[in-house]
Amino acid sequence: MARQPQVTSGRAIGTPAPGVRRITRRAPGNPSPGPARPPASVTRPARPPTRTRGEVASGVGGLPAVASLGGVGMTTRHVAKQGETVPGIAARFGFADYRVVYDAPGNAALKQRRPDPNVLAPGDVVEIPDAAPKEVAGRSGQAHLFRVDVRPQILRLVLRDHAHAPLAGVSYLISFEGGADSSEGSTDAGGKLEAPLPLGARSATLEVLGRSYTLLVGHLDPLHDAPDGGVGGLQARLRNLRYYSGPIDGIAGPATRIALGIFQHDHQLPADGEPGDATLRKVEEIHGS
Amino acid sequence: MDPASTLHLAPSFRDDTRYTTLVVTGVDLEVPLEADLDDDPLQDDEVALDGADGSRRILKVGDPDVRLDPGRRLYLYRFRDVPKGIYTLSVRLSDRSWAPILSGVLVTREGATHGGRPLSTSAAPALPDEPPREPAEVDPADLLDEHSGDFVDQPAELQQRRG
Repeated sequence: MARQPQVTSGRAIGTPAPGVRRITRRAPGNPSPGPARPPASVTRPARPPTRTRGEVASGVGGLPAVASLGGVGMTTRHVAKQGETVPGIAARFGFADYRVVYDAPGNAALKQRRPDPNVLAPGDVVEIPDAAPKEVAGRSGQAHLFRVDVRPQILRLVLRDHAHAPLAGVSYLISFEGGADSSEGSTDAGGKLEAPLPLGARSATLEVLGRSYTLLVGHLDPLHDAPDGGVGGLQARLRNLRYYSGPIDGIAGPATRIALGIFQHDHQLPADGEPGDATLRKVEEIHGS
Repeated sequence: MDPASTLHLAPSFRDDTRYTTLVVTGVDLEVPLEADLDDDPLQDDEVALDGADGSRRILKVGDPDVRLDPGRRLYLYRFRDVPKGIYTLSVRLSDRSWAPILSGVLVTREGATHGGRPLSTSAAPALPDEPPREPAEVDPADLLDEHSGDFVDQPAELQQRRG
């Protein structure tokens, strides 16, 4: 039998992240010249098989290949690593709007456990739904420009002094990784500043009052239901509030307990160094996330 | 880089209303130490501030943050930008070993205290590029009424008498 030319489906499903390889699905009726594969019309099991994708599938530049397999029925599960957020994971899998992923039925439990999609714990499993194909009509032989509406993210900070009074009118400079983007200005009367977060930026440098801080964006761990019992998230928040200067290692050692005890003292809580519910609520309230 | 200056944050969306709080200043803790304790004209005394978290800072005579108060024969060791925590102050005279002089110094959002009594602090933002003060411009008479905290190298009963 004469070999037929390969044809791809050619349906746009959104714009993948730069460097991400797009996988296209062979159209039914155009079998591969390689080993025999079942045609797409083969009856699939009622419950689609599930595969876990953490470090497994990698595309160009270490990014996962986009699972543009609309209709194939494979549910992808992504195991979150330190520093990942739902919007970041969604973008890496080709979703411009993270809510498509976060609101997916398979992530109902995750959504309940992680009410802030920007705060995940390492090991959290995010189910990646199949990408819905989107068809756009266009004349052949012409160049077409497609714009993807991505929900922008920002750094929203309030700078305070040692006594927790807002630092108003303080000049700051935030330089994002790579140095291409930066944001500078002065804090408002409430000590607040907002800096648009460039797409994909995961770290920045904040220069304020003659000091320099490295900001690891997306690295804040939750206080509850985390593999380390929330200790790492607690340490990070206490460090941001300048109660703790030790390592963020998830180990509730003496330095962590002392820092927590002083926080409790400052906020009229029993200074026992124990991360009880009232203390964790207060930490979350004072820290703001 | 100092690990304490690496901060873990969560980004926000435009329609969020929450702000992440960053505390970016500490207190300046001033430690008065009697000048020339060991009658050494080339005094090189050192004062260490040890945190319960294992941090350590050392100031020695000649550092920009150590100034002489000639009217009271005091060296004022100024530890800048000290974060909240529990600290121990130690001194080393010449090449002798370190000797703790004050333990349990508590730094909270209200400032620094020891045994419930306030120590001399400044809550102003500590700018590291502030030029050192010139001792010669200090009029000793102006310092007589200035409260500069306790003499940390004095016995506790003497401190109480002064207080």
